[in-house]
Amino acid sequence: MNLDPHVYAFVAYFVVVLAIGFYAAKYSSGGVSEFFIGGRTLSRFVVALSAVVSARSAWVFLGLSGLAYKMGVSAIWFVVGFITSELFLFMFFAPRIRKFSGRHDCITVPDFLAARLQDRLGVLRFVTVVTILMFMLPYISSQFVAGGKSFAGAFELSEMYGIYITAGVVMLYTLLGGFVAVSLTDTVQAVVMIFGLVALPVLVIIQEGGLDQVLQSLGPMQIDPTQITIGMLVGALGLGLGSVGNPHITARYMSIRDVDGLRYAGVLGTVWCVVMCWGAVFVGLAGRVAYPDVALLPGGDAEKVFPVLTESFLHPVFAGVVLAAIFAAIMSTADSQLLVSVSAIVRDIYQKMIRKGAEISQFSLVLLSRVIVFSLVVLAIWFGFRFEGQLHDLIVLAWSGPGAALGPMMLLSVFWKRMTLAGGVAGVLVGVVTVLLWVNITVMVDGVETPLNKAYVGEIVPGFVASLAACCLVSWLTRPPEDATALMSEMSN
Amino acid sequence: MVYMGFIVAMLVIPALIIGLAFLLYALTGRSSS
Repeated sequence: MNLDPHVYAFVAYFVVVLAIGFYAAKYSSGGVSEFFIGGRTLSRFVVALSAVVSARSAWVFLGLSGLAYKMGVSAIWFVVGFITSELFLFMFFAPRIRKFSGRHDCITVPDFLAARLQDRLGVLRFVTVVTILMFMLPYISSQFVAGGKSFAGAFELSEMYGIYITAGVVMLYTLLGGFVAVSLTDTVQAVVMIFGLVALPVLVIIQEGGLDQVLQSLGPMQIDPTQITIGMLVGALGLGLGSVGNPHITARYMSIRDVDGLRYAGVLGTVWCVVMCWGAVFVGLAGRVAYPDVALLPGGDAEKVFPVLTESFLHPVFAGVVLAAIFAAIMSTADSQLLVSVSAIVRDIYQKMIRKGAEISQFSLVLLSRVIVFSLVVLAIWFGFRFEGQLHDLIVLAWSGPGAALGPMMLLSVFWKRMTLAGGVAGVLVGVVTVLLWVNITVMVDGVETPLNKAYVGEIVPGFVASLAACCLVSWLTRPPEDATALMSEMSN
Repeated sequence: MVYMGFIVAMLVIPALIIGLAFLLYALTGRSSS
């Protein structure tokens, strides 16, 4: 093992997140509410940052900077959609779902839907849980693989050890500290991430002779934000449709201590996200100047621009911190997805379906949750070793699947009195089927078989529209809950 | 003028988003009080 200065920064970082896991253990052991949403005691600051970074993943560092390297400033369209959609969610959607979930003791998204749409038989709960697990588990695996690859590259270890270390650290602090640990580590990770995304482009631009010099070195295509096709623009902005349906984001809204703090969290989260994402775009542009030809990057891969610039332009200790930021991004997403999957199994399947009405001690439920955390990590590692294919495509699919299938139902349940249980079930099924068909059906483009999401528009747009139509149509044809007016008023008062 | 697209993409749009965040903060505060 190569014990260069990178290692110290990494070890320090891992020690901090594990210490948070131990610290949070005392707050997470009280019961499932504490384990899964921190007992609704989190501060506005923690909610703001953890909601933002758990939604972003390593895509910001590797994918977005790579897009900016290839496309220039047009890459901003890939972030405008989700930043603005999450701002509106914080301001208008989150306060309503927080009020309702507090009154009905909802701690998961299926909990909320069951209470709002009066799902007494558990049909909607079941299809929602299956959808969550179907898209989350492969995503957790892919994050472990991404972590393993980066770790292996940085420390000359085998990829297998990299996967074990990434998965082990995430498992340990999630298992110990539950939602509080996940949210606090997300907050630390947000700080590390923003350091990496601001410091690196500033340093590279200074070393390349200043912004004016960088702009002159870039071609006219790279500084023109209109250099994007309509289909790609719609797909890029459409990524914003995914936020509302992804349960690891919605769970953050339920966990805040005071409802009014969500407005503050909205502003802070938006500013933080803007700085991170535009920083990543600057990294890509600066990388284009430092390495004008993609062949100069390892493997000719534009997504390597961030780690390559880090190695080339930063002092080894700072490079270690910045590379740790990539792990921060990977871990902050994997831990949140892991906890949502565990909550779907323990709260929704075990407590609310298998043992419905039975008296189960909170101690047993928390213990079971910890066992499931361990089991899912083992399962995710097992999948991870068998994973083949493009990481970027899997990440977009994992974001788009719940976004399209659950998003319209969530929005309508919160804002539309006429929304019904049958409408919700129809929306989920139509959303899942549309997304899966859209990525699997191919058409011929320039003589090459191309899936519809590559040929026309990303899968989230047709999936969301079809699911929305199904929700509305079936809801109009069926009867809403008898006390729908009272249920809606519990969100606004 | 050469850099107009760059300025819009890298300065104006993020500034507008942040401005929108503060605007919504102010408006929602007024409606809730």
